[in-house]
Amino acid sequence: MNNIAKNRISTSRDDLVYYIISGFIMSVLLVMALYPMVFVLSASFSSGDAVSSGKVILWPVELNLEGYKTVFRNNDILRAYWNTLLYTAVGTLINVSMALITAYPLSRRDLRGRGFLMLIFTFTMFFSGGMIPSYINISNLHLMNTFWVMVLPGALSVYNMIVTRTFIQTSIPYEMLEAASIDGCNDTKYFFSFVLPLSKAIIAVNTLFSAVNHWNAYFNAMIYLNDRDKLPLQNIMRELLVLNEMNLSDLVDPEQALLMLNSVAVLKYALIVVATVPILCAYPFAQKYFVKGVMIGSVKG
Amino acid sequence: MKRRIMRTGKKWLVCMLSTILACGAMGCGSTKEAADQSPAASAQADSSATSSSNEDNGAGETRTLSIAIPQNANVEDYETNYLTKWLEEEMNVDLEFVLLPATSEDANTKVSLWVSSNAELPDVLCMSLSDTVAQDYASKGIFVDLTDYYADPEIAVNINSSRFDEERDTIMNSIRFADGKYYSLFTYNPFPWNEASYRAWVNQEWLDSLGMEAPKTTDEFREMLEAFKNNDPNGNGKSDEIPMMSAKSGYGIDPTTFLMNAFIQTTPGADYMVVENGKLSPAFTTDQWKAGLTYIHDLVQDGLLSPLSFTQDSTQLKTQLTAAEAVVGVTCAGSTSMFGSEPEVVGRMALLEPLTGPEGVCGVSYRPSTAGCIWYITKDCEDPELAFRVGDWFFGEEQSWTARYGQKDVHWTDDPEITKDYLPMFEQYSPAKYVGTIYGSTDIWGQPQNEHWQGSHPYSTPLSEALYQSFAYKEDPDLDSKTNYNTTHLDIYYNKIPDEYVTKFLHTDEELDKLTDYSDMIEYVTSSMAEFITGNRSLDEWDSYLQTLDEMGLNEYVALRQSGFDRANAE
Amino acid sequence: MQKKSAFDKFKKYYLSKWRLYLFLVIPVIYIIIFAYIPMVGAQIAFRDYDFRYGIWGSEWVGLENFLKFFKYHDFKRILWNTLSVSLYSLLASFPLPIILALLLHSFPGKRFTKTVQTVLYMPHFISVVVMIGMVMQIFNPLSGVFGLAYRVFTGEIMPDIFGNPNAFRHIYVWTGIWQGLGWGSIIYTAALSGVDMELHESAQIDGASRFQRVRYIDLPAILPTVSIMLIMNAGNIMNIGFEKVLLLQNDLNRSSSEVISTYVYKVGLMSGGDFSYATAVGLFNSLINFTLLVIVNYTAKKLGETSLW
Repeated sequence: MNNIAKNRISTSRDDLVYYIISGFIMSVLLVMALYPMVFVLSASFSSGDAVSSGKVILWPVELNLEGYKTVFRNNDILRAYWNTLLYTAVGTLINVSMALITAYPLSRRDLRGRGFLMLIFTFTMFFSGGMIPSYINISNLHLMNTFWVMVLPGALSVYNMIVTRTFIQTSIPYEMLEAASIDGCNDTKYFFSFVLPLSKAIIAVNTLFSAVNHWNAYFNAMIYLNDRDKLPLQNIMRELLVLNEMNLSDLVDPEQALLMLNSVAVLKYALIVVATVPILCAYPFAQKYFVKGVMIGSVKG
Repeated sequence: MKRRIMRTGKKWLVCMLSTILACGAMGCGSTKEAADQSPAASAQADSSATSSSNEDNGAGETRTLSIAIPQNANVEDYETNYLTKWLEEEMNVDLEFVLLPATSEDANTKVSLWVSSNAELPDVLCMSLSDTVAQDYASKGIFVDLTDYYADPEIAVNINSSRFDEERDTIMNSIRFADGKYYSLFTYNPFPWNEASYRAWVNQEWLDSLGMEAPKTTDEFREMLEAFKNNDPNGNGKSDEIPMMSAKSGYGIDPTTFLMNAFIQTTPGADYMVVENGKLSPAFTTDQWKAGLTYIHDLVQDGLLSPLSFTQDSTQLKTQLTAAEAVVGVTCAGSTSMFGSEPEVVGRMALLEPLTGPEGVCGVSYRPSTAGCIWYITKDCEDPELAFRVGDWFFGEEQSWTARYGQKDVHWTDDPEITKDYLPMFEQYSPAKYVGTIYGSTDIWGQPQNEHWQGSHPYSTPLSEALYQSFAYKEDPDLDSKTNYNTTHLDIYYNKIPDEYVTKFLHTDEELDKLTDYSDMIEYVTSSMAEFITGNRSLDEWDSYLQTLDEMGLNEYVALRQSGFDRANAE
Repeated sequence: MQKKSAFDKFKKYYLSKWRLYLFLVIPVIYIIIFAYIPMVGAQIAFRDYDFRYGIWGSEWVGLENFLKFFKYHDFKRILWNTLSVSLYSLLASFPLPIILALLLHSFPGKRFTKTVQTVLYMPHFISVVVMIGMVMQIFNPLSGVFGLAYRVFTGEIMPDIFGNPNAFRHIYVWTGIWQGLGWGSIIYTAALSGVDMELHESAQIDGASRFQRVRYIDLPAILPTVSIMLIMNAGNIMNIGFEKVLLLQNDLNRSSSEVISTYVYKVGLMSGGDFSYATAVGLFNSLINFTLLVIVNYTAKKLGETSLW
């Protein structure tokens, strides 16, 4: 009796030590990650001169909204926001669907030719035609300068597919499939009735990854879109930012260019804030699905 | 429970399949958009009626010209821009803009994809391309040869006007291609301040408080730095002074060029080549160079030149330079913008004269202003003559001034009644022709505006006009009290430029291809320089440095550059 | 007879599993159209691409583009720099997100862990330019926070880490970790959500400490995910983006900071977009990456853990 009690006390003391150490580590990480965020936010509210001369360390210096004013004075910002939302929503829907319908059959041990199929999918992660063949391909498909060029190339992320497949393989026991097929559940039904509901966490991850990807994408828009009113937010942001990073050697008259640079030093921070706040809000939604014990409830139910 | 899952499952299926089917259908479904595909088409789509009927020039019929131009966040709308409207009215054309990405790198990628996939090009590429790319495209027939248009005073009206008489040869020399032809119109805005941009600045207050004169020689310079270090010039009782500091990159920012020029005349932008009787030789293998390295190394060794100068970027340099209490004695920077905007901080720095070394060398790094190609007429243009005429239009005097300063009599004026009060200070440098006065408070350069194109198109203010530009501001209350760096610069730097110098290298395709084998040559030189100076590498290894250069093919490299140099200077 | 029954088995299998293959129809068509058809164009690595003649009409030059790359006099060094930076990066930055995910999962205060998660995920969104600018400012010996602290504690000026060629790797890797830690842990967090709570309950009754439960329940549960991620990271070894390296590069650390991507970038700037050459270098990188992936995957399979195929 005494022994058991002692044992219990010592266990919880171990736990306490563990919690203190892990809590401490996480707090340190928290501060380290918080710093750049505070810095960016402060810099975005500071004067250009203070930012470009490194006077901003933690809090805003010479409080000023010039950066935000410049961002929102741009006529294209709102439309670009809307475009990005659209590309992100549709693109993510396609990405997640494609990853799931590919990952599900490939997660099944009883699929013949699985290794070969995995190989041909994985192969595309490494080898591509390069920029010109892709460009010509898009042009031949008549996708150039259309909405679809923003969502179709890259519709299947093999990386996300593999992650999804691993999740399905490890979190959903094979016995469940056997039990279901004895009940006369076919492979399609099994996917919709069991795999999807049990994969909420990985669907959340997929959604998050794809959404962030689409949100940050600018390269495809840059090379494939010609109409200005189709451009997403990132491309407009880059234009504003470019003033900041202009290559002086390209210019005939650097002193004139410098005149431009100084007025927008603060801009890049305002841009980061404007461009990332919406996508930052996506995380808490995804986080909801990372709760533990998803599996257990459904098996019992 | 199970049924509910099934139902949501069905929704998923419907959603997913319909999306995917929709995607599949899109490929063949959108013929209208397919028609819009080529970059040129999207601009020409709504104006296809106007064809290339060439016979009459502006008798009612408005012709269309599509222009690919990089987007600029400071130009609100190219279509409704003041300069565009003026041009369209006067030339009776309708300009259609195909906007390229704003960074030159992105714009180049996009154009190279157009070209490489044989897409139909816009009539005009209004952007600067690298020499290599321009040469490549020109030799493959992407651009129209403009040599005959240039020669025809009926077509190249403004370019053949008296405005360019003095500098036409210089201009035409710098935009000629390796095959001797011309493929582009140009932008040419010479400005002496930019030509010798590696300047050094000294804290005049420190000099005054120590009762010292500005140094003339490398020895005096060293003495001054020592005094800065030891005699507490900022008078706060702490030895927190940094005698000399600069940064790794930026406009005219480099700790070595200013000092090295007291040992051997050298220019970073010209691959540190010395020109003597038309022959190039590298400065960085000479004994003078080694002597210069030794001198600068000793400065670092003795704590007079901060080694941070080789690693920090210009933001950190600016942090030190703009500190309320001065900590930096000497710095190298091309622009006063490094000193921030506080008048007392800017005011305490004074231009330092180029130093004379132990051997009596007193050089200045020099890159002459050249014209840059910016208006390429493409093979798909149906009326290249019109495209040329439109490009030429910008070279009118008023057009060029509008391109830089905005509307006449709104943003600037050449009314002698007004200019006479503001321009005399430049009188001594050139036969005075008072071109303009800017209304100081309305300088719209670098601001979002809709008056001009921020200079990204052909235009020119030749040297004779340029000398007065930037510093003649009306409504500037203390014009007289401000030090005019521009005129000081003309006095102490511009008069020391070398007799022979590299204007540009003009290479053929094959030479350019070979040059890529030596892509790291100059980097090796600057890296070694920094290593020798900071002591990361001992100067005893000088011989192995020379040997490595030799192995990298320095001789072949110089020979390649020599042929490019000769071609550029050939008449 | 024998043959027929094999055929029957074959038929029976496909009759029962055709639905699984149906799922794969769209993805397979997709990768054929968007990956395999353009892949034919990768042959320009073996040609001297000239747009006037197109992909098929350009002159065949064999391995010339590859040789041009290999015969670069400093090829060995940039290859070594590339490999050492990415290996170091893999070793240091691979385990940390796993540890973080385990810590987060095992900590009792849910509000706290959610905050930590959300905040750690944010630096991922800061552009590299801004991040490096910040790091350079923080570590400046004269004006940076660290520089000032160093001065207060030691009375000396902090050595300049950016000018030290040996420090480059550390700066590169640890700034990467700083930025990517939270983001990298998301996958493991998701995988941990599948851990059976009953196991924890019974282990608790047996008197297992929290740490022991992490070690013997949580970790094994995510091990398949861990090994798949390791395999995929191994196949990523040659991919070092040039942007961050260029920002950190200076004259003093170039000997250790020049990597394949920065070299190719610089040559590309000089040669103005030689697509054949760029494709050749890309192909070379992919080949090494893919070979590594196959080797690691094979090893993982032999060890009995999860593998890609």
